[in-house]
Amino acid sequence: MNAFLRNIWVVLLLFPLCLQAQNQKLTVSGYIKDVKNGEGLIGASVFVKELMTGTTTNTYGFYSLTVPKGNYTLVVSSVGYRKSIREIKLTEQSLSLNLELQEDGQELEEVVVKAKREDDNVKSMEMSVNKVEMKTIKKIPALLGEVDLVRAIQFLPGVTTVGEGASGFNVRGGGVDQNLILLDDAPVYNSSHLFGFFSVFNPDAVKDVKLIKGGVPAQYGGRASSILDVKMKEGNAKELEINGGIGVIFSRLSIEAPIVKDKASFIVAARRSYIDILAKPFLTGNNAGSSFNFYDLTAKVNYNIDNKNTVFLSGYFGRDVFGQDFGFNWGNSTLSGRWNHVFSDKLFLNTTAFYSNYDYALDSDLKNKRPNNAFKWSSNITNLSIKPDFTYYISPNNTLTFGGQVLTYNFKPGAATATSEGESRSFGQERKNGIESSIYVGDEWKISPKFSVQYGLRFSRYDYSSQEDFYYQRKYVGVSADFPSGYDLTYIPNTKGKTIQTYQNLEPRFSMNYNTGDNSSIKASYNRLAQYVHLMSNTAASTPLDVWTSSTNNIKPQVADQVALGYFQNFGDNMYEASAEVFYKEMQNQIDYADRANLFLNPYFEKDLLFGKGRAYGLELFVKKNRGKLTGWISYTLQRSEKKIDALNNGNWYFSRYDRTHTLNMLAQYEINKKWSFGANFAYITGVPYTLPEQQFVVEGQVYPYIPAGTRGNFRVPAYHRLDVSATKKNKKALFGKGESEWVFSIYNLYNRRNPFSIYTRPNETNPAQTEAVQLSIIGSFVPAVTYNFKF
Amino acid sequence: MKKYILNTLIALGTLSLTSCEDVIDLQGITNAPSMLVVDGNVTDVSTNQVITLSQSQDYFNNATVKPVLGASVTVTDSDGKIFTFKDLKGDGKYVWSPTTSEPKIGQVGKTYTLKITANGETYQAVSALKRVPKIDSIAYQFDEARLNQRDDDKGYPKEGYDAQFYARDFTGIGDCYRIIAYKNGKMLEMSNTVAIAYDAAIQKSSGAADGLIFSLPVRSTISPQLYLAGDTIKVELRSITEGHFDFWTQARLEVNNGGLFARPSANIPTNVNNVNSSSNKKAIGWFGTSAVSFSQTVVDPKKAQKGLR
Repeated sequence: MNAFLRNIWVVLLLFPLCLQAQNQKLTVSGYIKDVKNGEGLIGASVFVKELMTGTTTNTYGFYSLTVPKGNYTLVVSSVGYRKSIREIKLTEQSLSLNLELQEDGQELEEVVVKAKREDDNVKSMEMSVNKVEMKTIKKIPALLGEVDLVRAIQFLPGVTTVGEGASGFNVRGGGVDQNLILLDDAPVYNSSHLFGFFSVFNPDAVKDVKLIKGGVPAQYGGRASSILDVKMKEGNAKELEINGGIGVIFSRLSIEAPIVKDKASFIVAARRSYIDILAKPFLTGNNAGSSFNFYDLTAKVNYNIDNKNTVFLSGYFGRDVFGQDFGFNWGNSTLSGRWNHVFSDKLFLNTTAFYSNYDYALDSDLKNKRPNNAFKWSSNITNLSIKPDFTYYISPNNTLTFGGQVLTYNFKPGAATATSEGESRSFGQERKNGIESSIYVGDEWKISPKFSVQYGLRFSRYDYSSQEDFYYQRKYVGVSADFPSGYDLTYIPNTKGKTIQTYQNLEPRFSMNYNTGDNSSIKASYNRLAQYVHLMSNTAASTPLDVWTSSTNNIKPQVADQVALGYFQNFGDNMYEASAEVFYKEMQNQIDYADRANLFLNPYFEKDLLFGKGRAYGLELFVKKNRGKLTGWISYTLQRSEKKIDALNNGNWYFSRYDRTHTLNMLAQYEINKKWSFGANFAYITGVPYTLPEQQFVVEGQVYPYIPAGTRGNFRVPAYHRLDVSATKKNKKALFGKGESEWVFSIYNLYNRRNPFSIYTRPNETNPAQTEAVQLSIIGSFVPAVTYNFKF
Repeated sequence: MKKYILNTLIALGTLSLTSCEDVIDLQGITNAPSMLVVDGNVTDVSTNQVITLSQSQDYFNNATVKPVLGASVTVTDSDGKIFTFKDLKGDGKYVWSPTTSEPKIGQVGKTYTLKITANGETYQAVSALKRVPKIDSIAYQFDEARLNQRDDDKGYPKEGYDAQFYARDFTGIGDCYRIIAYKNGKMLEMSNTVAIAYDAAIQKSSGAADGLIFSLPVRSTISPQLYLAGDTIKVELRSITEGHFDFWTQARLEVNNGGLFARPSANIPTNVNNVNSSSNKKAIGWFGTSAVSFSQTVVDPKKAQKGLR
């Protein structure tokens, strides 16, 4: 292990030195920022007019262009910003050039700016990638008027959930644990508040959101289906800015300001729900003192030390608390520190170190009324990681990225203490450790103006060890009433901390783009992704109690191979963009659960697991209107997601719990004037599969269902559809006659449909010998809401 | 445990959003093969022992359950002694009655084999009769009903006496129990709240609850509703096998499954098998064996305690 790590570092540190040697041409490099708040602009275009070539800024707003000596006209542009044109002299030495762009406001309408990168959709390497601007997300009519990032991305092609209120999301037929959700590079293990109704991201603190569903570049890894990369705002480096909102469920406030103008700034954003405060008068007797609330705090500081060095420190802390005497709380916390360093004008380094934690706890005796009879349960997963990422700008046509990551996991899957009449006993699942190390190299190469490729290779390795002096080995004993999975466990003594199992994977990545015309292109991609941690979840919707578990000697890493092919076309001077993509994904070592599996606090849970393969395939159509008074998109997904596991469904392919055949999403935003704008969205989704019993039988006067062992999803819940609308009224002034503000009126589920979440069977309450089927709707009526947002 | 979580979720659900349930019409799966249903127990108590045989039917078919008639039913103990059960009323209830020479069937430590011959097929089930501890006491306190003790439709008391029984689990992992409470001679247990214990806890805990006094959730199972002054509380503690515990755990889960966090429906285990394993005629249900201990008391407000829960 140590030797392996050492090798990674040697390679990473020597590489830049080798590259420094060859320096023939001259380079212009620097940062592109927003003039208003000093935030680095991601994906801004830097174009050399004379050479008809250019590049785009990276996640931190950095660019580097290496060209033959000469005088050039540099055109810098970004969607929604005024173009900036600079004459530069690159005759004697390389140039460092930082530029600030002005937002393309309404008042500038006469100077119609055509930002170059509006055709990004067609020209860029990326396919199966959706970038959504916070501006757009903020205008989507939302449940209870609360702007929500995770709910917003569910309007994108290929993204679904198992239903309303379910936490997480499913991408291209993958499980909720197959999405790597990154907040400033730190993984977030549970993206939901209030089970699944709201996501943990405070919209006022988010700068940029990118969802990668396929053609995943080599720098990302660790999950089998997708990457949701959320970048936090850096904080206004020019002046004090306060944003806030008062809604039905919770309120938000964020403050950002420069510490040293143009050098250092911070942002602090907080939210808290107040259902508990509103509900207080209705809670009496034993329910008095109940609390249920959630809150989160997001903060970031950055310091631009000099032209070559910038450091960032960002953190997130959120928690959901429920409880009367019995208490239950859960939450994520992350802390990431980053250092951007410009080695030379061509070599850029970002090093991130982060800490991430997800934990939950239950306590039967919150008020400590009867310490002699209590039950306490806690679980957590903790990460520590360091991750250097280098970008080497070889030439405008060739950009090399390379780097690595060491990610340590500490799993405490569940520990409980039960006390009965003063006697205490502890039990639970054994604690585990994992180290996920990876190195990667990727190259983006414009072979000709029409043809470009991006290719890369990631090597990942996982070392699993136990914090106990034993581990279990699965052995086959045959399916029976006692062993529904067919497996039992053998106890094996082991030295604490000694590596029990190592897995290694080579993950090739490839994408290509061929321009078939000025406004159209064909793209294709292949990627392999390995995943070493798994969420043990056997319920309709994932719960906050679900446990993340390590790959072990019994649980193999999930490996997904995906190919995708797409056609991209823009119309009407890039006013409309359209795309059609097909994908096919094969997944190895997929997990399902034996009948009667017990995943909580069960040290023997590995015998309740079943392994097999999965596959998903589909077609995604997407049309988006980018400009004008009416903007929005229509997306349609035709998709299948299946699993094949020996002990289930007689060994035949069966639908996964998140299989959705048709998904249609329509989203429209209409701006009447500077004061009023309207939004509407419509969703239609095929129901999820569920299992109906075959027979009924009576024992002691009560009817029970008979479901043949291993049956999965023999019926389907009816389709889901919903229309939401909203109206926004902008005011010139906010509080105290300053700033600006807006009222957002919204109605969720306008036509009051009782959308089915699931169907289940039960005995009739008054006559337990009779059966009935019940359809559950999570939101059974329309939900109106008003939100007031302000900014000054 | 799960109930606490459930209550919290329910409270949350009703307050925050407008979730709702609608009973819908479904035909479901029809004409799946019908199976022999075995519902029977043998105990160490000197009383009639009953094994009920019926036929399973389509899930949404709410016709009266068909009894299985004309079957031959015997229970053989590990000493080879055979007890014959007879369908006296022709209703599928096969009964063995005690006599002075043979006052009871069950004895702790013995294994019992049920053999059924019906419609040309022979089925068999084996179960061991496990030990049961004695009940030390029943205690109660005056309180208002908890959320899960309320049922205004059925007129459950809104305040009254919340009772618990005290007993200690044997040392040794895997003792399983079923608890049945009677209020004035009427059994309180509804099948969807069947009360069971694994060692001293309500669910399997890999030995952590071994040998303890029954934990608070187990002790409280005798109060699915509150008692009133003067009520007679009778508690019956039965030993069951671990398989029988699994049967009740799954059966209970299946009838209480639903909501946002519903699990996929799964097979309820059975210990009754067709002797001819290649036959497509199958059986479901459970043949159980229990040792039983009893305790009873009359609620006296003067003896009510405080701080029990």
